[in-house]
Parts: sequence; C-alpha cells; structure tokens
Amino acid sequence: MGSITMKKIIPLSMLICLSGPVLAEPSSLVAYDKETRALIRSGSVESGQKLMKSAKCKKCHFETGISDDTDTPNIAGMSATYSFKQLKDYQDDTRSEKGMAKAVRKLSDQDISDLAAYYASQPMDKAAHDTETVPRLVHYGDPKRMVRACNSCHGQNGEGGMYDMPALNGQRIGYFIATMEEFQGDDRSNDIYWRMRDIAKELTEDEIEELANYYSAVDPEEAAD
Amino acid sequence: MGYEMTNNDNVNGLSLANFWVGLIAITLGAVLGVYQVIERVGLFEWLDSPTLYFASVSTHGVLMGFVVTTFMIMGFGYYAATTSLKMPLPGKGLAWFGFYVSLTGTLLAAVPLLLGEASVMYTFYPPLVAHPAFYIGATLLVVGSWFWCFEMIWAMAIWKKAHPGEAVPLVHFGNTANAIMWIFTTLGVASEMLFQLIPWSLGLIETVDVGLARTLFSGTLHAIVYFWLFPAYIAMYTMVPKAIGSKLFSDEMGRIAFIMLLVISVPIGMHHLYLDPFQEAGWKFVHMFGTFLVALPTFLTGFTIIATLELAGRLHGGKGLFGWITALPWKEPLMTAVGCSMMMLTFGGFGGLVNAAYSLDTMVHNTQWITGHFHLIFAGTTIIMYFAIVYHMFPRLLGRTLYSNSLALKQLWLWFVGMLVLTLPWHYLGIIGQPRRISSAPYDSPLVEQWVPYDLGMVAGGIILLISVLMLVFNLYKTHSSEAANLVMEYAESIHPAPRVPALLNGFGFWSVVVIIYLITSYGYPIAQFFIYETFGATTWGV
Amino acid sequence: MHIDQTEKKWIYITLVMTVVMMGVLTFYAVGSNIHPPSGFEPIDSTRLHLSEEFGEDNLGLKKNEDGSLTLTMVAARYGFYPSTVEVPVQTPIKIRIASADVLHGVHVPFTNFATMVVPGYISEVNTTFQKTGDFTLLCNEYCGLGHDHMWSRLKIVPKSSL
Repeated sequence: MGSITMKKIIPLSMLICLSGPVLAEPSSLVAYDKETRALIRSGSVESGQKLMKSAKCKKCHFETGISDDTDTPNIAGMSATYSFKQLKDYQDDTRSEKGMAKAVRKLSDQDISDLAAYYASQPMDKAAHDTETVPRLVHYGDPKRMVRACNSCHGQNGEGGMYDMPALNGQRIGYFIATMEEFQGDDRSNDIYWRMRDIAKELTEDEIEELANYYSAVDPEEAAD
Repeated sequence: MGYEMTNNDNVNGLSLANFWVGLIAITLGAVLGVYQVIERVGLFEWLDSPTLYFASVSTHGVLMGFVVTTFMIMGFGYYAATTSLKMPLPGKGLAWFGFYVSLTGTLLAAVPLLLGEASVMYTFYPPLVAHPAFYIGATLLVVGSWFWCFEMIWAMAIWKKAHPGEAVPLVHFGNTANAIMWIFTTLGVASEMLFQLIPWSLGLIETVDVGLARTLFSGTLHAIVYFWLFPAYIAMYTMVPKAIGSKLFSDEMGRIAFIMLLVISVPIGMHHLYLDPFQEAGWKFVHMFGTFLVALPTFLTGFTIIATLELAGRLHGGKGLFGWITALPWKEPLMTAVGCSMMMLTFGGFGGLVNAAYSLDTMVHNTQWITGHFHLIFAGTTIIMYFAIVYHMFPRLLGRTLYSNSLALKQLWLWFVGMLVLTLPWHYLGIIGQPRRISSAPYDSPLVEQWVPYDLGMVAGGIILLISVLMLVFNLYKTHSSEAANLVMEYAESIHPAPRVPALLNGFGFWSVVVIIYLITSYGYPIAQFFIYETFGATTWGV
Repeated sequence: MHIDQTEKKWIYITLVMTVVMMGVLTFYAVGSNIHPPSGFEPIDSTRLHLSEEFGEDNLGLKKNEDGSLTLTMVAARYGFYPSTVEVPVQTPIKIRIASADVLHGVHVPFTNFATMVVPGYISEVNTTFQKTGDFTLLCNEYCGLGHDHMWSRLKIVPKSSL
C-alpha cells in the first residue's frame, strides 16, 4: 500500500492494541458526496491557470497538460472529478509518488478544485490507435478472465467515464504501461473496490503494450523524428 | 334515429390523425425491433454497438409503449364516443389541441432519443439521466392525452343529462372508465416528472430519491397496461359480436369488468417493486392481493367473450363440443383477431400470474421471461385487437371498403405466429437465466451457449412481425383510395338488452371515491416514508 | 340485473381460484418466511467505501458472533465486488449488497439470490444455496452502456471446505 510514514505507524499500532479487528485504511478517502461535488463544481479555470504557474505544475505537465516525455502523464482534458481525486489521493498518501506528494502538500481543497478545472478545460491529445487491429479487449474484454471491455468503463470511445474513470485516449505510452504495472503489483491501490487491480492482474505484458499503443498518443520522441 | 350528424360534427379527421401517428410509430418501432434482435444475438460483429443498441431499445420502448398506444386509444375513443352516443364531440377544438400537445411532446422526446441522449429505456429509472427535452416531451405526450380523458368524461356527462335514467352505451362506458383510470394512474409518473426528473435534469435540484421515483412510477407502470388493454376489451364486448352476426352474452358483466379494472388497476403497482429494497414486505404483500384481484375482470371477460363466440358459432350452425369454433366466421378480421388474442391471453395471462406471485417473481424478475411476457400480452393480445379495430374503423371513417380483407387476415395470422415465435423462447430464456436489457452476453458461463438456439427464435420472430406491420400499414394506406362504400359504425346488442342498469353500473362518481381511498391505503405510507425518514438522493449519472 | 347461471358458476370458480392462489402465497410467506428482499435501510451510496459495513475491509463472507454467515457485496459500474466469492452449500446465509452508483439488479440463475440494488438503500437477501458448483452473478437492470459486462463469480462449495 505504498510508503507508510512514521506518522501513520504509531496511531495504527495503537489501534491494533486497543481494538479487536484491524481495519486497514480505505483505498481512497475521497468520496463524491454532496460537498465534494459542490467543491469540484466550484473550480475556477482562471484560478487554476494562475496556480498552474505558481505551484509549478507546468514544469512537468506544461500549460497544455501535454507532457514531453513518455513517463509523465498527459493530463489535458482529464475530467475534473478524476483529477481532483488523484490530487487528494496524493495528499492523503493513498496514491504514492514522491514528486506529486511534494507538489500537492501545500495545496488547499479549493486550489485542487481549480487546478482540476483548468486542466479539464485543456484539449485532450489524440489516441494514436497504433495497432494493426482494434485489440479485442477494448470492446469485448475477455470473459474467461472476467476482464470486462476497457470501453465499458472508460467510455465507448475511450473518452472517459464518470467520476473516477479517466479517459484513456491520448495518454503517454510509458505512463500507461507503468500505471498498469503498478496496479498489478498493488503499488497503486486507490482504485476503490479493487476495480483496476482485479483487471490489471489478469493482463499479460503483451496485452498491456498493445492497449498502450492503441489508446496512447504518439510518443513525443517519435513525433520529433 | 337520434341526432343527425353533419359533416362538421364528425371526428373522422381527428380519429384518423391519431390513428396514423400510432401506425407510423409502430412501423418505426418494428424496424428498430428487428435491428435490436439481430444485434443482440451477435450474428454480425460489425453491428455490435451498445450506444446504438440502447438508444434503439429506448426509442422502441417509448414508441411502442407510449406513442402507439396513446394515439390509437385516443383515435378509438373519439370515434367510438360519437358513433355510440350519436352526438357530436363537445369541444372538438380541445381534442385537436390535445392531439397537437401530444404530437409536439412526441417529436420533442424523439430528438434526444434518436441522438442517443436519452438512452434510459422507456422506464427512465433515475439516476441515469436523459436530456431534459426527453422528460418534457414525454410529459407533454401525457398532458395531451388528458384532454382526451376530459372529452370522454364530458361527453358521457352530456349524454346522461340528455338521456336520464338510460344505460350509457357500453362502448363509451368502457372508454370513460379507461379515461378516469388513466387520470388516476398518470398521477404517479406526472409527479415523478414534475417534481423530480424535469427539475433534476435541468439542474434545478441536485439529487432525487431513487426509491421515491420508483415508487411513484410504479403507480403508473401497472395500470398503464390496462389503459392499453381497455380498447381491446371494449372491442371484444361491443364490436366483435356485431361483426360476427351475434349478440353479446352479457352487457352487465362487461360493465362490472370495466369497473373492476378502473378500481383495482392503479393501487397495485408495487408488484413492480417486489425485489426493491426500500419497501417493506408487508406492503408488497398488500399489493400482491390486489394484483390477484385484478385477474378477476380478465377471467370474467374471458368467459363472457368465449360465451359470446360460442353463441355465434352455434348460430352459424356449429354443433358438438367444439364444432362451434370452426363454424365461426374467421374471415372477419375482428373474429380472427379475437381468436388469436384469446389464445395469446392464456399464455400471457399465465405468465402474469407468475409475475404477480410474491415468491415466484424472484426467479423471473428482470430476466427475459419478463420481456417475453409483456411482448406476448401487450404486443400480442392487446395490439392484435388494435389492428382489428383499425381494419373495422378505417373503412367507416373514410367511407371506403378495406383495400384487402384477405391481406388483413394474412397479416393477423402472421402477427400471431410471429408473436409466439418471438416470445415463447424468451420465456424459456428467462428461466435459464438470461438477463434483460443486455446488448451482448460476455459472460464466462455455460449458460451463454445454452441460450443461443433460443436467441435465434427472436430474430425470426422480429422479422415476421416487421413484415406483418408493413402489410398492415400498406392495407390501411391503400384504403384511403379504395372503392367508395357506405358503411356504418354499429355496436353489439346484448342477448338480454338492458335499457336501464343500476346506477352503480352507469356512472363513476362512487367508484372514483373508492379508487382514491384504495390509493391512499395502498400507497400512502409507502410514499410518505420517504418524507418521514432521512434518505440519500442520487445525482445525475450519464450512461 | 340478469346474470346467466353458467356465468354465475364461473364467477364462483374464479373467486375460488383467486383465493386459493392468494392462500398458497400467504401460507408460504407466513409459514416458510418466504419473502422477496425487502426493508427500508437508507445509506449514502456516494460514501459507500467509507462506510463501516461496505468498506473494502468488510466485504466478502464473514462469520458473525452468533455463528451465522453474512456475505457483504457492492454493486458498482461495472462489476460486483468482491469479484469471486465462495460460500458454503446448504447453510443459511444473509447477503447484504449496496450500490456505489446507479441502479443495478443482481441475479444468480438457478438460485434465489436475486434483488434490485438501489442507490441510497441497502438490499438484503436471505437464502440457503442448495447445490455446489460455479455460478455467476449477472446484472439484470440497465445501468449504462457497459451493463452487458457486469457480472462476477459465485462458488458454492461443500461445507467442510470453508
């Protein structure tokens, strides 16, 4: 479940001593309840634009939200609900990444909402569909492994589903593959009710690569050639 | 005898307009139906598309369940009222206004439906949300039909004043019972629309209580099938006996059946919520009783109509235990329709009893059994009578002979066969577990293979039914330009004519009060609980 | 008012049939406690994973203090969680299931584990599985364009193996 800081070990161990069953933390502390939805709706694109510069998001994610290296995710056009949750998850350490944890440490809830609104307003990069045929998993999944079609949750055209189901179109290949591997190894576990971990663990390396090539944008290194 | 109708008085244009909207809707609905069954079986991978499929199912359901029915019922009611009461329609302008309100609503709802912005099924259960134009359009369709209700009640009131103490002609008695029942039952969906779905889809309120929405809708969802069924029963009682050269076995039993349908249909809707969590078992049990009671008017109708048919058969020379069946004039479309309708009613009615059973419904709920059931009982039993009604009324509305009687008979038999081929496999598929409302079956289960042979039945059935619909529409279209004829709209007399009937069988004031009391007892607390206790609403969800 | 003699007999027959049908259902409801899943238990579906009963830790099969079994599950687009569940055969089991998002229906063909799952409310099914084997939970209420893909596995195993 990612890195556990000292701050968390002590109260946890007290819990173990004092209570009966041990309750692990939920996969994410973010819930799309009334207050959260109102908060996300109140996000201002203008304020987000200012923050993107002052909080240095643009250093890696650029103003457009489209990165220049294959391991940094494209966040342009990501739904505000999804981005909001990921940033909060970084803050709550239910999603671990040293750089991002540092980046969001000082952000308020409103800041996060504004940033999410800003990047949601940026045009999404295009899926390259760089495969010979449409991978079967995209529309049909694989019933034998209880892997549902990717597009059942991620949008009939990969454009994203509701709330915490992100668009797959126009992502970065390196990031796509790394994310799937993180789900496989439980290194990423903020998918509520193990929804992605269950699926990722059934996929082979080749399948992940094929899906990455289908959904992702043309890699910046390739584009430069 | 009676009032001499002038050309301005007749409602022929009004009825024809309503009928044609219904006929166009059923043709479009049938085309969508064929697309759906072919896509669903997965015969052609290039056709696979949940987006298109669910947009089609939603459109198909709205067309068949709301548009075809409402307009054809209105067309039937207007012509039946004026020809049976032998008086002009009071306020015909209002009736036309209602027609246009309903038509506008239909077209308004059609846009998001066809664009895939209202793929929420014809039941539009929240929290899946459609474009607000869908909800507003559907509401307008219902509001337009309230004008029809008002006209039916008004006409009856005027006639009774002009004929004090006389028995209201059975045809109009039935239509008015239907109109009053429709007003009561639409209260459920109207409340759901006006207070929940429309403001919610417009963003004026953020959440709706899904349990409350489903409970309100259940108040409409059952009785609407009796709204559809009434014209079919009315035709059986008042048009069939005349058309086959006989008399109705019992006028009073007809009135009793109509009154029972008025009183019992609406307050029993919770059997649509048997498997829902937010209602206590006790209330479901209460509704179960009512649901079995509402089988009674159908049992009574079955007896009366079959007795009428037997009488007719014997008048035509039929002898022996079953000889009367073959002696019946099957070449009369109304006869063929009622014969097929009764046969489908036995299967469909049996299925209905299973669904009504408090403990059995668990095994069939939301499986293809349900799809099979309502197609058989509605698209079969009820709609085939609608076909016979238009075959009978169009020549009289247009003053021309039906273009082809033999084509009409073929069309009816084809519909009957197609309906059985379509729905009987579905019943079995439901028992072996196939869920409804799926566009494909990507399950890792040995059941999927077992389903395939029966799935092919629905493809065959759908195609047969489309052909049948095209035959129907062609026949009626050609009737507009066929030979002139002077045919009169006449209704059956009963064997024991009853110029006077007890007041309770001649009016609805008392029975309306009974409905209100029954509604309050059976739905009062189940609805109030949502306001007494704290519940959590759901926000809008896209598909 | 005239009612034919034969029709009168038929009315009595249908009344008797109706009463018998209602009687049988009442007998099984009252006597064998066979009811469809019912009960008014509101819950905030938007905070489901943060609730005590439907948090990830509490999902699955659990033995209660009094020895009875409870299976806790969640229905969420597009699957049932936990996605593979093992339960013992011929043992009374209470199934508690709630929705994290929209309306769903769950049915395990050839068992009576069937219920609607309505956002805002907890569904409860009490049943005893009769046969061992591999079964599937199927979603049978339209819940969105991915509805077809919503299913999961139920393994009913001999009592001794759990």
